Amino acid sequence: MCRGRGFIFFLTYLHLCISCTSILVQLIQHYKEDSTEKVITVKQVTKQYGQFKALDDVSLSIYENDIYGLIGQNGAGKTTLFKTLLSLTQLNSGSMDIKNRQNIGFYIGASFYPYLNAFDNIEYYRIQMGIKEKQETMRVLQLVGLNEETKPFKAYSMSMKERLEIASALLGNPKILILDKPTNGIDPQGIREIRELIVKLNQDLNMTILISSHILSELEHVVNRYAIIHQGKIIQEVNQSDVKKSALNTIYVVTDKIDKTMEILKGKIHSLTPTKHELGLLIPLMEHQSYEIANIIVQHGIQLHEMRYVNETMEDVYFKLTKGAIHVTTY
Amino acid sequence: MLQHIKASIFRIYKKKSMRYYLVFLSLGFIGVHLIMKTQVNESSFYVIGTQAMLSLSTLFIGTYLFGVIYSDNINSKTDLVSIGTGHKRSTLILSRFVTSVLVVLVIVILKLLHVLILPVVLGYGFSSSLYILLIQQVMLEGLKIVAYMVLASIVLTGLKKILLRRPLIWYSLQEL
Repeated sequence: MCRGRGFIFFLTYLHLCISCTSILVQLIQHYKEDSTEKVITVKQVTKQYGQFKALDDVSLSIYENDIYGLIGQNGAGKTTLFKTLLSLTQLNSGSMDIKNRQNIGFYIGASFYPYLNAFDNIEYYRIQMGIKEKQETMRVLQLVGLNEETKPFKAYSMSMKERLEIASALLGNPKILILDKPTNGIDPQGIREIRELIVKLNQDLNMTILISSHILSELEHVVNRYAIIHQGKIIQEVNQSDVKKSALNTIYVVTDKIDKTMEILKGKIHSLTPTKHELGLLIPLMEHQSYEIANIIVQHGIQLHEMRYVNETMEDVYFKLTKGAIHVTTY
Repeated sequence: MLQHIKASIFRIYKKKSMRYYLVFLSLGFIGVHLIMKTQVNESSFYVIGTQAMLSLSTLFIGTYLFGVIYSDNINSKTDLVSIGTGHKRSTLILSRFVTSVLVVLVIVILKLLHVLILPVVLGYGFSSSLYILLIQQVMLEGLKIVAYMVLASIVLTGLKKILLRRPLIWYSLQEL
């Protein structure tokens, strides 16, 4: 009897322990989620040049350790947004909250003296920023691989200039890095170098990076979140992981009779909404499996030429949202 | 502000053309007096020649220093970096002014060394009043250079404001 009670007591105790542990784990997870702090908050920012609205009611949030992309065509307002973030231009309305403003490293175009070499240019900024450690200049130059350069800045290639810009932005080990079109005018090798450097800075030094570029495919490799800006407005903020998840839910089908295929699929599965795209059909899968669709097509004597998952690239999302053409690539 | 001044002095010190320019002016000054001495060996001519060259130097040195201290920063957009990292515009303007005063002070010292040592080397017998006259002239020209640079920077700021009144032009320039 006593043993039975002891056993029950032991089980109750064990149950309590497990419950407490699970609550503790949930609390830790909740705390972890909350600890991803917003480092930049932009609220309803408007910037006008005369009658021209360069930024129109722009709102966005950037979290700690994000690599946040800002994409848009020329004159969309990317540089203006960066300049307002850096207080280089005055706002007409709205507000911005930047955590630890002094801790921003940035570049928005070449800002160096053409007659000085890499070391002297960075040394100039080190002195100006009041950084006492003299080895800081060499540290940032080593990070970008320009520590042995003795030529003056005017003799540098585009890639070297961009890397020097990043080096200056890294002075003082900032927590937030703002890079405006860092891959502009650079050859593919240089683009890869800068891309790798950005990822390295984010992963090794835990930097939050805000980056803009016209080369969407390049941004795609590095960012985890991005915003599409068009005519001064943020059309949408996109999470890269959401795009990848949704990519698995769309298939691209090419048959010998496209119209008939569309008719049959709509007739058989009412919830299905295939749309014509290039030579085939784009089919959002929803609850339907791809083999089910393949079966229906084949059973009706239609020849199935091609069937593949669609990978929606950043470019696709961009063109879709800015009313451009969708570009389909194989997942 | 001190760090801005230190950085500017470092940059100016590292600018090779600045050194070449000063050497050129120094050699020019000495050369002209050497040639003059072969023609007319009189101390009054030395004074007249020096005064004429000092007057001209305001324009030559002033224009060059304005380029080094003010225009270089505008052309290379380095001020944008300073403002973007939270430095006040007023601090930048003030530090630039102090830098120009310091650089002019160095130029004045160099000029004084030339103006006062050269007559001794060339063997002119100068009265103390002539020395005082030359020192006054050098100081005055130094002040003129500072005033010249301040005025030029005001004109430049004014031009920028005129551009700002035409927002689309300014916007296009910024986008570039």
